[in-house]
Amino acid sequence: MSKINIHFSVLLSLLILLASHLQAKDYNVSDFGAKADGTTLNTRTIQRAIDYVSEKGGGRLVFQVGNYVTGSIYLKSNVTLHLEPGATLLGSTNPLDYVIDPKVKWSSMIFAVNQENIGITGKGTINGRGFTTANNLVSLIHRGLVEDELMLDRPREWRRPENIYFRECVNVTITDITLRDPASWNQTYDQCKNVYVDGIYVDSKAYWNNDGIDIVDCDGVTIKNSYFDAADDVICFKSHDAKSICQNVVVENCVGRSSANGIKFGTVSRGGFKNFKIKNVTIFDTFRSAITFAAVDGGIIEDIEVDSIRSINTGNVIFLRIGDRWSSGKQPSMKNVRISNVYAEVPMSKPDAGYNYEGPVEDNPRNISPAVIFGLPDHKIENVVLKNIEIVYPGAGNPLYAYRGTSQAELDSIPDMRDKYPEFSQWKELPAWGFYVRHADGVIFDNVKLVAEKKDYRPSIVIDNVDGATFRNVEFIEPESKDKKQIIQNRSKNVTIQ
Amino acid sequence: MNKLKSITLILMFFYFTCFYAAEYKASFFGIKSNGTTLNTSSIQKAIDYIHENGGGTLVFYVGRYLTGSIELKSNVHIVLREGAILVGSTNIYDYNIDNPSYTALVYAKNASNISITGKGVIDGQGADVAYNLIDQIHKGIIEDKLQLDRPASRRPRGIYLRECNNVVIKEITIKNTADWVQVYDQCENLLIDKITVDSKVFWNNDGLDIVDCKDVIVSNSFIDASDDAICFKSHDKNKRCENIEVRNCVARSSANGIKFGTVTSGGYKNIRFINNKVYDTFRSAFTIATPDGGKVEDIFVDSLYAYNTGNAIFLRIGTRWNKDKQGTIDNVTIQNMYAEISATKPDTGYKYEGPIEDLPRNVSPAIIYGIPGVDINNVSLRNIEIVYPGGSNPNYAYRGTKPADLDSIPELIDSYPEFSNWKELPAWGLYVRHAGNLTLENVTFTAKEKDYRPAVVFDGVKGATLSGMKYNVPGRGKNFIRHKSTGIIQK
Repeated sequence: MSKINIHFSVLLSLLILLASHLQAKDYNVSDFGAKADGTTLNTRTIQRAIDYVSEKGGGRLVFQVGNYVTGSIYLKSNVTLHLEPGATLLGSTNPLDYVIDPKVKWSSMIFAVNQENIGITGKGTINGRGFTTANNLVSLIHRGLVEDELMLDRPREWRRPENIYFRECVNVTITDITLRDPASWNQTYDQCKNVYVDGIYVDSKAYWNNDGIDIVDCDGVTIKNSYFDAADDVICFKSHDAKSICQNVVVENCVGRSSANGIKFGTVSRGGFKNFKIKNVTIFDTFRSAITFAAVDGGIIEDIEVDSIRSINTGNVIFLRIGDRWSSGKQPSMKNVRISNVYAEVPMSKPDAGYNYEGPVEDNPRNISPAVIFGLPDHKIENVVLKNIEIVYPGAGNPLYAYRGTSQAELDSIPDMRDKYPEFSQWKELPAWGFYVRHADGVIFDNVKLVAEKKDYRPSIVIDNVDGATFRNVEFIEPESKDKKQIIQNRSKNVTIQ
Repeated sequence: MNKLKSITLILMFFYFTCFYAAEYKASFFGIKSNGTTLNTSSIQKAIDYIHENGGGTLVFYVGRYLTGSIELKSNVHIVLREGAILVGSTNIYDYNIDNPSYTALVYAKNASNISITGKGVIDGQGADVAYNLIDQIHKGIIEDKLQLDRPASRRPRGIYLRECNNVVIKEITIKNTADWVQVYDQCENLLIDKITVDSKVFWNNDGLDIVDCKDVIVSNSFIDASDDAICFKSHDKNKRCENIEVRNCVARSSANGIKFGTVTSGGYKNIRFINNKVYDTFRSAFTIATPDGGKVEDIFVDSLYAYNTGNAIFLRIGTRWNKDKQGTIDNVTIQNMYAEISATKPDTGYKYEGPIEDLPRNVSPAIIYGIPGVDINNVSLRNIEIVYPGGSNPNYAYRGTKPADLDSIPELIDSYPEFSNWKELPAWGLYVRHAGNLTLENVTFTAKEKDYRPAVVFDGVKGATLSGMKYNVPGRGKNFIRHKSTGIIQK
């Protein structure tokens, strides 16, 4: 049923796309006096053009080749910005040329609030020039002209302009464009319906928080055939509103790299995430996890299917986490997560070394972490299926560098850290090299192959407080460990090893 | 006395702020002087910041500062140092066109203690702005009737200040705006000193418009403008221009040199002009027009020099938009004036020249022209010499002085007031109709060549004293004709 829903919404957005293409009238932005010289600030001209096209019933506002400098503009209903190859929307480097939208309380180059049938298309580029803008903003802050606490030496995210921020929009089409270097997240679709992203290219390592794409509380989203290289999370689903939810989402045929996570649910996860299909995705050179699902703010995670993932040179592969950070009385949950057909390689060294805005240096020792499935005693993760999985670890866990034993006392002593920011590395050393599962009910390992390239002092899998675990055709490859007990149980019941 | 007090106050205030206010460099706010970066938001940020932090001076050093509309706020003083140019964006959308009555490069509402000073320049780039606006109108993106081929609204002015007080505009040069150069509307305590206006790039380039202001000094300034040079208006029938002195100014115009009107709803009181020059000016050196119901009273002109102008003096009551009000002119003294009127078009060669007229007239006299039942009262002309080319040709245009000829001159009470309205008038020096209690003392009319018309014609004048009149004109003829006039005393 849910699958049908997704297909239906995809079909619908495709239809809308086609329909709008057939009827759309083209307007040339230069007719409105916009200059493509790379120096003229076109903010008000482009805004006037968008308003005009919208007032005239809609159409495409076409940017021919050239560099169009702009500050904040608002896209309006039935208008598509079409960037021809070689056309670049260049963000002004003056932070004062951007507005902080009073409703979304965030800054962006291209806004749309409460609009429908809008899009950004074409093989052109949106380049936020965020590094310069952010540093100009820092300079204004240093001079006392803008107030900001400059936490971690950076202005607040919401004060730094994104490339795109759409809120409460219906029928959004983003195709073919290249997005570069905003001062904050690249693109946010927040409480939108029917978002269709196809064939985009994101290259963004210009400043802190350069997420590739953020989908917040949206219903009906397709992201496919896209490439992301981002300093922060690549494809990130968030839920800012406890009464909203991200649902009916397809991610397909995408490649991503990040100095944070590949595909991430959270961190802000108030409402939740439901009915996702993530298929055929490659994540590489990524500092944290290829896949992170975090329900730490009271939201739910339900009916998630992940199929065909390649994760090459990532710091971690799978991290599922229930926490209790900003839940404020709500009951977080995670159930019915199916992950299949995964091939992953975890490196010994920092996977994103050499990329701009690398992930931070950690302050404590740990050996290479396992995949982590970690609920809470009062909110257990339910029904996780891991099928056809191969993960290659470097192994070589060194107990003299960091140590966590497998005695009951040692396993019990691992803290739940229920209110901490969720990262796979938050517990430092964990007692397994392949999988660590805690506070979960109904976990199936089916045709799973775990490889350690060097001998590790830890077992491959530790399960703790698990009710119902099935290990079917699970294979361990580790040098010099012929009779090693690779599965350790603690406080668990209904465990089947076939 | 009152005026002196207010002048002193202004000056004191100005020096006070100069010495004690915090000073901020434009570059501190990230404002770029490269001539290409559009600084609108940064300059606005600077003004807002200074305004919110107790006021001070925003200093622009040498460079070209490109900007769209900026709003000046209380206690903010803009200093344009020599070589600093505030350059108006040529993009019409960079101006506050959504609020047409305020559309200007620099605007303010309800601000007090503000100034723009220094030897720098404000350059509106108005021709490009206007043409870009017209382009958008032609494309249908902006709607405008394009009356007389020019956009009826949205053309940005250089400066528009509304309901501001304690305003100082000093030393700057303002040039090339798309509409009026600078407008001070319902402002109080305004000092304009040592400024230069050079603006002949588009229609309606008035040099300086003072609208319904109180306590104003305009001094030591040079104004070269394609429309009226120094212009007083009254847009609000409940307001008026009051207590104003214009001193030591030089003006050129392809319209009028000094003008009251055309829009004259409320009126003018106690306005003084001391030691001013007008040259190469298409219409009158000095015009008072009150066609819209405004009361004009207590106007004093001393030492006015007019060289190569189309007309010397034009005083006119009309009934254009006056509705239930009737305009009046009372108590106007003009003394120590010397004027040379040109036989040819005085503004030939200047950009945006005055228009070609469609009917023949010989060179027009000075005109004092009320309407039937409403005389212009208590006008004194003292120590005046007006030099005319003379040489008018009755075969080119003719108006005789027989009673029937004089009576046939139309009143044109609701026409737009121009000295040339009536085409040929029957005098070459001075034509007066519907006036009372007129004094001419030591007035010399000189014509370089013989004229078929008399020097002076009075029609419907009730009471006049003439003394020390001189008529220097080749040949013999009658110099003074009276018609339907009473109480004329000639000494």
